[in-house]
Amino acid sequence: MKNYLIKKGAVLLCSLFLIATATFFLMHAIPGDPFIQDKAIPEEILSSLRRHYGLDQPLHIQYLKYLKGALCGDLGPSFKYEGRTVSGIISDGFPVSLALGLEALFLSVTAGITLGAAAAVYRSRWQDGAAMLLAVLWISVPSFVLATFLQYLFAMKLDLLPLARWGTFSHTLLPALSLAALPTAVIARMTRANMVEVLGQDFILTARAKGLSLFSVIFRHALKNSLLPVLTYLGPLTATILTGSFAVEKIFGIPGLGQWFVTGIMNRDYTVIMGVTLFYSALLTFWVFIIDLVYPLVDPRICHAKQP
Amino acid sequence: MQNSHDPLYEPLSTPLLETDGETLLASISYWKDGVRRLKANPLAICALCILALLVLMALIGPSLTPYSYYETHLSLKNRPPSSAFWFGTDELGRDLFTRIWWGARISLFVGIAASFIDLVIGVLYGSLAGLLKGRSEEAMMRLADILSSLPYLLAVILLMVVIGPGLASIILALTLTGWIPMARIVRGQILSLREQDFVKAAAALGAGRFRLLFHHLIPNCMGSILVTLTLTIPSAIFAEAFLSFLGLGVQAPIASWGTMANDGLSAMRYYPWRLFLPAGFISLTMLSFNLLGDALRDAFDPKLRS
Amino acid sequence: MIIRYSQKTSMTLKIILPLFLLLFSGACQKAGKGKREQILRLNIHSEPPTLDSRKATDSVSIFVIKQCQEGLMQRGEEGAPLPGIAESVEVSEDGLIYTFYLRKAVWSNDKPLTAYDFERSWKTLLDPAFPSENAFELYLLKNGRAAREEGAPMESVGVRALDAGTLRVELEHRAPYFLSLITIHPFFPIADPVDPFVSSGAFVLEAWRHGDQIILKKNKRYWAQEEVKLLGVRLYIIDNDQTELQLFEKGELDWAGHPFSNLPADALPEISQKEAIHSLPLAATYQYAFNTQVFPLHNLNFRRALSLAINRKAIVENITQSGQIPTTSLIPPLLWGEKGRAPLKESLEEAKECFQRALTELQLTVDQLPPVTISYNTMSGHHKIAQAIQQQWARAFGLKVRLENKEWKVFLDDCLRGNFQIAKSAISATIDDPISFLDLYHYPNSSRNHSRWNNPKFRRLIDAAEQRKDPKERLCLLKKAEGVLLEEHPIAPIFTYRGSYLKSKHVKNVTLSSLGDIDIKRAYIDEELSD
Repeated sequence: MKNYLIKKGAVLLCSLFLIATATFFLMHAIPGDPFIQDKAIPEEILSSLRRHYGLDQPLHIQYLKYLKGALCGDLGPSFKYEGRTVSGIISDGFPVSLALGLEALFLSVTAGITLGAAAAVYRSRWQDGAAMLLAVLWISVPSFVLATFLQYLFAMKLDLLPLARWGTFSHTLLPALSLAALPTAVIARMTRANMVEVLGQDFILTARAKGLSLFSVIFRHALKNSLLPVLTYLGPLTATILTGSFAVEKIFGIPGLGQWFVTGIMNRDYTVIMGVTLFYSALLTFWVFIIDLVYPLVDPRICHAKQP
Repeated sequence: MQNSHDPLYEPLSTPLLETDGETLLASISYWKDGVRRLKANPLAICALCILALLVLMALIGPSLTPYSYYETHLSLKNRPPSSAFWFGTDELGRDLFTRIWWGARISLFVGIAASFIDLVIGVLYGSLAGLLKGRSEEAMMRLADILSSLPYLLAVILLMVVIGPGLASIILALTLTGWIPMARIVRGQILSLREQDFVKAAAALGAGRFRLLFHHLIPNCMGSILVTLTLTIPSAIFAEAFLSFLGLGVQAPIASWGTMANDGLSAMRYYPWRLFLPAGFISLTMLSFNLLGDALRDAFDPKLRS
Repeated sequence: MIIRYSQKTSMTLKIILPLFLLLFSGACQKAGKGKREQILRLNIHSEPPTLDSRKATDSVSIFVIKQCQEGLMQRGEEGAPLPGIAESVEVSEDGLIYTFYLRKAVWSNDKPLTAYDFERSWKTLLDPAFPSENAFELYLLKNGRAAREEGAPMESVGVRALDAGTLRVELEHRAPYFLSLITIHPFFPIADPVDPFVSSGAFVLEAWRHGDQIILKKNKRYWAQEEVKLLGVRLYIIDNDQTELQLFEKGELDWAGHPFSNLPADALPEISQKEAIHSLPLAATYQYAFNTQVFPLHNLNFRRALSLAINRKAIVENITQSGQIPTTSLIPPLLWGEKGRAPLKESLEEAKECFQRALTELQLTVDQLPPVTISYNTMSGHHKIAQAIQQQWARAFGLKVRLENKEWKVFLDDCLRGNFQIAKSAISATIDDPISFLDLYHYPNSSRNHSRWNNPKFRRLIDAAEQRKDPKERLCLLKKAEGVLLEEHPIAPIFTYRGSYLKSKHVKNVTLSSLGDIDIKRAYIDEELSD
């Protein structure tokens, strides 16, 4: 087991290294730099700024310097936000996105599985149709449209929930709902698709014939076997949701991490781009790793650890 | 004592076997059988009709009105649907009926083309990864993870600068990482399928990798593949809207449904038709694709055939 | 079976009921409708990148800094400079030496505010090792440019604190607008050690919650603190126009729109029925820049035709809809001190004639002309205007026009490199003087002269104007220079900006300037007004 973990750790470091390299050179390949602005600034001043931040050095030197710093945990200062470090930005924004993301995940997993299971059990009846219609609707509406609509309905017209910003539990509800809609729908459809297959199988018929209740059959037998694709979907979904959503955060004025993925690029804030990308990919690799570990629990036919 | 209201099962209405000594079921190929089952499904026919109608309107819709999609009538802006403008006008006074059907061309084409490419790449990549064992599978999946962690926006801006806007560049941008979720799902399914007896039996009978894949494994993943596909299409449509917003993709005044929905968002409270018309058509298209996808799965998934 | 069902129901109750309670706790948490405190709530839209007056270049940072810090002079109404930290000033005969006499002021942490603080701040800015884009503002000081770019010694720079209360400044050349210039933030003093929580101005930073809000409270040590009535200011950071408008409608914000953002265009007709939309003219122009180095825009008649054919009134009435003023002049009338509108040079017939002449000169027909491209950065306003103009030119000439929507920095980069044909351009004045606009076109390679327009006569007029001592003569020459520029059409001005905003009726005495500044130092909340 220890060897397995060490191997996985090495793979993680290797992937992070590749991502850092690719992102670094991608970043410098596009036009624009952190300092040009819509103003008349003398060229000498721009060069002195670039010199101060080490941007005048050859690319590979900048790259190696960055890597050295990153390995020691120093992700560098932000070029645009003077006085803030990238680690500071991440540690300020991540807990907020994390809280929101966990709430959205919880909602989508519970609601999605319940909806999907109900649709599968009552297949071809009105419950199935209604559930799947709802799911299709949520898939075909982007999160920011839903967010705007929910905000208008619940916060403006009905005045039940806060309109924007962050602070109490009720501030988290509307954004979490907006974020959870798409995953709920996808999970519901996946669960239904798989459960329908599973429910048609012989061992279910046997269980029912033996006298097991519907509830027990679903939860103890059918569900486990249907969850594999849901789990696969959950891995990257978790990493994405936990690092925040740019659109939803903007609409609700939430100080999370999601906006930095876009703002960093828009500002050509190189260290921020590198920092959040590495953070996201570390999170993603971690979650995919966890999901891979969980696969055999759900489907004992899959065996990993025994491989050479 | 279980009664007959078990939601999982229905009592037989007809005897299972009717025999007069003749052969009961003629031998029929997998694909022919699937198509036959598809044709018998009323919802599938309905979905196909809706899609056909949408495609038809995309082709002839703009010629049904005297307006073009780019003519502005600034003083007639933001009008609700009327006899002069069947779908109303947008913020520059352009006829929305014409623009919706022009947008249909872009959204349907880009959505379907990109999703199809994602499907092919994703299924091939994922099944290969699922079939191979050990290091190669690891490497393939890690490569996919790395690709999906790269800042997408950077790659898109680079594409825009290097290739310039247009349909080709937007489809390229969409398919750069769009295949990864499909690949992951397929790989996961194959991981669980490959240990099953029927696969081992087929392998023992001498089936090569190719035949194993296409004849046995992939058809059994059909359910998940189709569900993921019906997710890929709307995400392609919205990603296209996002990319057009950034300057990649079709340039104004041509607009896709996604772009129109984006523009109509700020008008939701005041001129709701500008949002609900394009968004509604996207939903309708998605609904049809989903119904079709479900029907396809019901028809072709070996596990569902009684 | 029965047990299972009841388990299920009680489980449902256990989950749903608390959820409901939590849900509505938020609704009950709304602020009680009592007396309004003297706390102003604004939305600044984005996180200020810095609160160091020497480094700030964006409007959000500058706004916060200006409420917390003060310089030698303050900007009064109509732009005339008023005493700030400096009580009085003496100017030498030749206009090169200014001596400022400071009042006895302290920082918010009780340390004395001296002339040394000003000297130190200005000299740090001119230090070549100091990373700031604002240094060039100080090039008016003697040897300022030399110190920054050629490494001249700091002692040679024309600023010296004679003692704690006296600051002597020497300029490179005469500049009648110098006292207006030093009201801007690069000229503010800086505390020792540098600390954004230490203020010389009306407010002091109480809390800075990144991405969420900035909380200011009244600086009791400010020399004019009796004039400051607000006890606190909440600056929210919500980067969405719709959400801001809705917060304002709900009463959770006291202000929406200019100068922090634009009111959503689609909402304007309905808002104007419910609330009074305030607006003020701004010293800023929206225009299209023609790249004079590129075919076919090198041809004067072609450019003239394009400019004459734009129906500015239609754009202003239907797209921007905030009372912007159509214009064919570069410089807004208020910078000349004029009240009315400049005459509009638009004419479709003349445009068509010019276009024909251009075609003859280029020896092409309309169909042979390659499409012309309008570039702009991604924002819905530019997008709509470009589409409208595309149609106008197509109808007027049959010209093929393409649109190119670019990401912000890519757009900036392309404009700087001349990688465009026609580009959106928005210019705003930094000081209340026409030179602010004209200076941008001084040289063909000036970074803002995207058109790369080159005209020696224009340069001569500007240089001559700067030599004049008589302000009337100076303005006359500057006006002539503008005339020369407009005749050659390197740009097609479209409209003069107007800032529109919504303000809670309880809020009084907020000062807005035509330069886009907003000053809340003397503002207060009128509790008398009934709701």
